[in-house]
Amino acid sequence: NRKMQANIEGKPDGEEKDNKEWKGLESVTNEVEKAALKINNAHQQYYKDIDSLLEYVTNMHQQFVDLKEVDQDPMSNFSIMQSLARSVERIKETLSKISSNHKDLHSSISKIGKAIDKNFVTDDHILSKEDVLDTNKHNALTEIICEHLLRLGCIDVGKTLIKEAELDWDESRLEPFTELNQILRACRDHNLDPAMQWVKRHKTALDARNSPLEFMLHRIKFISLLQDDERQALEYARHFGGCSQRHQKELQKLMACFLFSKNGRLSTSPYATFLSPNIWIEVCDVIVRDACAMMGLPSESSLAISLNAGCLAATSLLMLKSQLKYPHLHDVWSNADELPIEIDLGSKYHFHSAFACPVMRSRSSNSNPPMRLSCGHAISKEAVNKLLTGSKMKCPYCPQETRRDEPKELYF
Amino acid sequence: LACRIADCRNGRVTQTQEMVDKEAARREYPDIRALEHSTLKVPYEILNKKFRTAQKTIDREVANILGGSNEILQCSSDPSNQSIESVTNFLGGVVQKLTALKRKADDCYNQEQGCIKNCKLRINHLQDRMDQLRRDLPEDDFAITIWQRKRCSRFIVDHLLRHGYYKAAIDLIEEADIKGLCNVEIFDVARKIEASLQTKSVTQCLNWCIDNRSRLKKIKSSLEFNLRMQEFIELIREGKRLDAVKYARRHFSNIDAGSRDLMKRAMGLLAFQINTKCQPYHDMYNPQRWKMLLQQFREDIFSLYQLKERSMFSVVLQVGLASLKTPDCYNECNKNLQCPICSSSFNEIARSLPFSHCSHSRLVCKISGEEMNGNNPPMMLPNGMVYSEKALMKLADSNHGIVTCPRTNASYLFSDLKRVFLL
Repeated sequence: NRKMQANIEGKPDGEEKDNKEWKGLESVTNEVEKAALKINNAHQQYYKDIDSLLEYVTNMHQQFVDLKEVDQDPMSNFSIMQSLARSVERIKETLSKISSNHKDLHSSISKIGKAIDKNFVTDDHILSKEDVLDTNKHNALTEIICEHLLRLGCIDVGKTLIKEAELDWDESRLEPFTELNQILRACRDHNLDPAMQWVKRHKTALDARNSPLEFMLHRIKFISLLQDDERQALEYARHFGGCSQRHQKELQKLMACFLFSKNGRLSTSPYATFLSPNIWIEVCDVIVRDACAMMGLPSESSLAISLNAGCLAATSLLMLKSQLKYPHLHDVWSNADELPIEIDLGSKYHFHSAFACPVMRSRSSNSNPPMRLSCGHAISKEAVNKLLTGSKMKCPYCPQETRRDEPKELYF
Repeated sequence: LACRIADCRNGRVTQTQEMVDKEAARREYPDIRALEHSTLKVPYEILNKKFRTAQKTIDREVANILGGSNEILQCSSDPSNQSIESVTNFLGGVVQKLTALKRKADDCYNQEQGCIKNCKLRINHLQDRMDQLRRDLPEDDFAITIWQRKRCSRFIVDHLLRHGYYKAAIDLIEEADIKGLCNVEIFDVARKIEASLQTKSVTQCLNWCIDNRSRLKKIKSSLEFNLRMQEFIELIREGKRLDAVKYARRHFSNIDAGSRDLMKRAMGLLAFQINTKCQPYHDMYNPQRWKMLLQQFREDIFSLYQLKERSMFSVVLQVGLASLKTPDCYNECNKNLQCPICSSSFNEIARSLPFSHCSHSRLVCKISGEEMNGNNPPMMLPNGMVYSEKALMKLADSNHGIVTCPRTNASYLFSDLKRVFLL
């Protein structure tokens, strides 16, 4: 009643705000669970039906086989004929039941499909019809995928792809990644030695980058020793001396683990995260970043960044499309040389400065650069020209005046 | 918090509102809603198909068992019709066929339950993502990174499968731990049929068409007809015109009205030689038709399993590149090594994509790569170059209060720098 009232009044009540949360996955899960239950029940019922029928018919068959030996003319025996008729009827009935029980599953199954279609977006025509990634770019794309695989430590997959796609890559391109892959492979088998050696060799470069790698490796070793032998762990803790300043807080946590070292109590302690398998993946991650940075490559895979940015952007675009803000998104896309809306990906994806003039609401360019007024506010050159009256202009955001020759061009 | 308060003081209350809106938007429209329709629909379609096949099997076996039951039923009222042997044989037959039915139907049910299991596996994977979103974890939480990596790998595997790089795809699935989340089986089936089509054999493809006849009819596919047509053409090509006529008689006599014109044209082919220049018969002899058949098969099998024509990899990549693309990426002095478009082959690929739209300023310090905002404001050197306060302070601290611009090499005192205010 409260909801109805609110709807009539046109006001969103608090409950409705919560309902705005998307429950699509739960919908689908429900239908799948229901169908699973139904199929299971039908299966069990089927076992019963067919087993009982099989037993029944086998008996009937045996009866008639025996009958042949005994009776000279069984066909004229009325009761035998009656039971024969009954048995045929029963066979028919049971078989039709088996068939229809299975058929009944159809509605539950199709409900799953409907739930998926209702709750998940099927129309992904957010792009124009023409595909930028056409056959010309295909090889370039395959090469990018290969580089991505090499960075991830999947050098074997990379080699398979090179062979299958018949890419023109020789060994020298793979060579810088071979050592990295060996280290990563060892880490995946929980063997830290190659990583430790590599860290020792590149200590100066890593320290210059403020890399937490050495600390992380020692941390893993320490925790694993702690679970077996306290004394060894204590001795090993000396290794932390070199990086104690940078990682003070973490070090305190590690030392506190001594409290829980006996009898596997670490897994129930507040420091249970140190046992998670993720620590291995994390350390592999840092190894890749540092190794790539030292090779002069970007610290994250270009392909991964682009795909993740794309997921964020596609979600925003589709959401705006569903809210009917941009119903013909693909038209706008293909005709303009700029996306129609701003998609905020977050600071992680900001690789370049972008200045938007607050007055003209347009992006700065070489011919229209940002300028700093004498008060410190920044607006575009076009805005300055527009606001100039005679030899002075007033800043649109504070009372300060700026003379004609004062605005300074900014280079971000 | 300090940053938000400062923003409020500067009149930028809207910033906080944006952040709240962003979280609400994420709850109402999480990324799995936008991107994962195929992920769930495909195993559903497989389940659907298995169900239909199962129903056909059961009904067929049942009909088989009950064949001849009516006569037996009649003999109960008219005993002279049957003998004891025939009754015994009938019952014996039923026992045998029931045993066969038991095995087959059991297998059907098990397969259906296997499909449901796969549906649940994928749902669990998506549920992990929903849980992450609900817990409001910070963006760089490692659990999120791992899930996103798996998603990237899923997209890449889909792309590889679509382009026939089958081994690499299988290996990547193994390495990335995404078993069951990729539609390998469908591509496996497709690959085998495509291989047979490339050897100019229609048999496998035809069998597939017959197997899926009702669904193909629903989507109004002309694949089966085109395959038969091609076989007909090949018979003529080999000079077996009489066989071709027999073939046509068998397969083309009860086609629908829409294809009749095509059929008439095909029959006309009997009168022309292989090297005829007369159209449209010249085209009919063209071996390029096999490529078209392959393409049509691909489209149909994708359609049946609700696989989209364009891969998610392709769509997401293009959108991503466009949203990252800035004019600076094509300006030599402003390139950033970390930016995917500046530093890799994406530069060429993204050339024909639209640029990202910018209606709010955001500044990145060229020295530290950090964002320049209320926390770390932009400072202007006397020559107009702008860098972040923190980076400049660091430079000044290690050089007696003097900063040197990394781009122009000009040196200035830190005290000569002026703040820049953005709105």
